[in-house]
Amino acid sequence: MTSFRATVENMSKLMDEMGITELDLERQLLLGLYRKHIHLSKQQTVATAPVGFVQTAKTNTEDKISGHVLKSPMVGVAYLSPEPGAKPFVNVGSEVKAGDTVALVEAMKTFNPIKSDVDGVVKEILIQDNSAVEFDTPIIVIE
Amino acid sequence: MPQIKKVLIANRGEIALRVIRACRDMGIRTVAVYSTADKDAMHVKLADESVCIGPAQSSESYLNESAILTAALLTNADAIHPGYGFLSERADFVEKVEQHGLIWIGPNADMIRKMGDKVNAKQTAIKCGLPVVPGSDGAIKTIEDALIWADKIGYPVMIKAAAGGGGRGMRAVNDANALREVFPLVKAESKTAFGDDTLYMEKLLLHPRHIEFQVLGDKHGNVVIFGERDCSLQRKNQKVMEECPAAVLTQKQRDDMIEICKTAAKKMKYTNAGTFEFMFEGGKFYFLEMNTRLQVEHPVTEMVYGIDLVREQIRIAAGEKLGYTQSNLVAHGHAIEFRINAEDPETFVPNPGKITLYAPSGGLGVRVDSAVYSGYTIPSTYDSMIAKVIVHAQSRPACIMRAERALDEFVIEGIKTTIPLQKKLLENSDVRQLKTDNHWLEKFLSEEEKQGEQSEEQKSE
Repeated sequence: MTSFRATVENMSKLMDEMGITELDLERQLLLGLYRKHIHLSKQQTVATAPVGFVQTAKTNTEDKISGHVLKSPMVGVAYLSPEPGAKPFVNVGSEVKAGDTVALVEAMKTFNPIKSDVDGVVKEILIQDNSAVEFDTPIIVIE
Repeated sequence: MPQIKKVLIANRGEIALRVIRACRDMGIRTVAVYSTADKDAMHVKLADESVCIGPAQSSESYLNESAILTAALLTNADAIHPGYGFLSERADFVEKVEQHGLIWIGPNADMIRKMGDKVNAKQTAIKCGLPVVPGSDGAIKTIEDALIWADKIGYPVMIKAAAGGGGRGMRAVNDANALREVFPLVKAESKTAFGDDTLYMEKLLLHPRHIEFQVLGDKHGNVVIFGERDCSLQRKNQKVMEECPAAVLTQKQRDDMIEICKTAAKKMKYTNAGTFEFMFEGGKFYFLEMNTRLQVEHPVTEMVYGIDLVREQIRIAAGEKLGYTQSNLVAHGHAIEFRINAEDPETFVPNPGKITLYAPSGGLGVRVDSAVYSGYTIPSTYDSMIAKVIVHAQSRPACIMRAERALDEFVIEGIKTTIPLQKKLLENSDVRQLKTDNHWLEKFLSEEEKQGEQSEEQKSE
C-alpha cells in the first residue's frame, strides 16, 4: 500500500497535469478512529481550455462584461472564421454593422450565423475558435 | 458489449437526480442538461458536467432534440436516459439518438410506436393475449345487433359514437329496455353532432381500480414481471398515492396476471423497463395502456423487491443479461408513495415560489426522492411535483402508520404543498379499508369542498 504522503504527492502531480485546482482527500483508518480532510488547492494558472464546457470561466466573465453582448442562441461549437484557416469574421477593434455575421455556431452539422444586432466596435471576443458553447454563452462584446 | 461510461440525462427535477444517483452508484459519469430557468437546480449541481440547452420553455430546452443531441456529442456521452415525460416516448428521437451512435436507455423506437399509441397498443395487446375491455368488434348498425352485442358483453354497456370523443357522443345503458330507448337517440345525435352515425359498444366499468405491472426485459429475450402497483387514487388522471402490492388482489390473481404479462412481454420482445396498465373490476383485468418508459411511481416496486430499476435499465441498455428469473423476485412487505406537489391542497392551484425551509422526513423505511432544497425557488414553468415520499414497512397497516409519521415530520415552508391532503387520505377509512376506485378521490374532494362551504356559511351566520 502506498503511503498517504505518496498519494497526496501523486494527486498533486495529477492535478497539475489535468488542470484541476481543488480536490478533497479523505483519509479514514480502518477502525474509523479519526478522519482527516486534506483540502488541496492550487493557484489557477493559465486556463488551457479542456475539451467540453468551461463553466466557471463563463460565469466569471459574464459578471465583468460591460457593453452589448452577443450570446450563443444554442448549444454547439462556435467558430470565429467562415472556414478553418480563413480570416476571422471580426477582430477586436473591427467595426460591425447590425446584420453582420460575427461568428458561426454549429449544431447537428448545421452552421448558424451569429449576427450582430447593433452597429459598433468589437470590444472583446470571449471565446476561442472551435470551442463548445452553451445556450446563452457570451461570445462577443460590442461597444 | 458496449460499455456505458457517461450518461446524459435529458430531464430535470427529481427524476434527473434519480438517474444521476443510479449512475454514481455504478461509477458512471453524468451530464445534466438544463434550461436558463434551472441554472440553480439540484440536478445541475450533482452531475459531473452540465450544459445549458435553452431558455425556460420546455419546447426550446427539454424538448429540443437537436440541442440535447449536440450536448451529448460535445460531452462525449455514450448514452441518453430520458427519465419520464419530455422526450421519453418519442420514437423519432430514439432513432436519432441511435443514428448518432448513442445508446438509448429505454425501449427501442419500434416498441414505442407499437405500444405508445393507444389504438395500436390495444391491437398489439389483443394479439399478445392481454385481456382488454370487451366491446363490439366494429360498427353496430341496428338495434337487433346492439341487443345481441350487449348480451354478449354483459350490462352495463357504453354506446359510443365512432366520431365522438372527449366525453361527447357517449351514453351508458343498464339493461335491454334502456338500450332500445337510447340506441336510436344516440344514433340521431351523432348524425347531427358529428355527421356520422357509426356507433360501437364497450363494456362499462363502473368502479375500476388502476392496477399496473412493471416489466423488465433484456436484449437476450429474458423477461421478468414485478408484482403490481395500485394507483387508484387519482385526480384528473394524475396519480396522488401509489402502493405496492395491490392489497385487493389474491395471490392467485397476482400470479395469473404476472404469467399473462410475462407471456405478452416475451411475445412483443419487450426490452428495457415498461408498464402494463390495467383497470381492475369484479376480479377481472382490462388492458388500459402501456407506458414504454420508467414511471414516476417506480420506487414502490424498488422498495418491495429490493431492485434498483434505473440500474437495471442502464445494464439492459448496455446489453447485459438480467441475470435473474421470475422465481428470484421476492416481494417483501408493503410500500406507499406520495406525490408532494407545490399546490394548494384544496384548490390545487400551483404555488411556485421560494422554499424558505426544507427538512424532509427520514428514519427507517422512509425514502424521499426530491430535487429541492432550502432557499430553492420553484420555477413556474414546469410541473408542480417537488418530492416523492416513499414509505416501506412489513405490512400495509404498518406502512400506513409509518407514512403518517413521515408526512408529519416533513417540513416545507414558504410554499403550499399537498401534504395536508395526503394526511387526510391516510386517515380516511375508505382508503384504509381499500374501498376506493379510480373515481373515489374526485368524489371525496367535491364532498370536502361542499363541507367547507357549509362551515363557511355557518361561520358567517
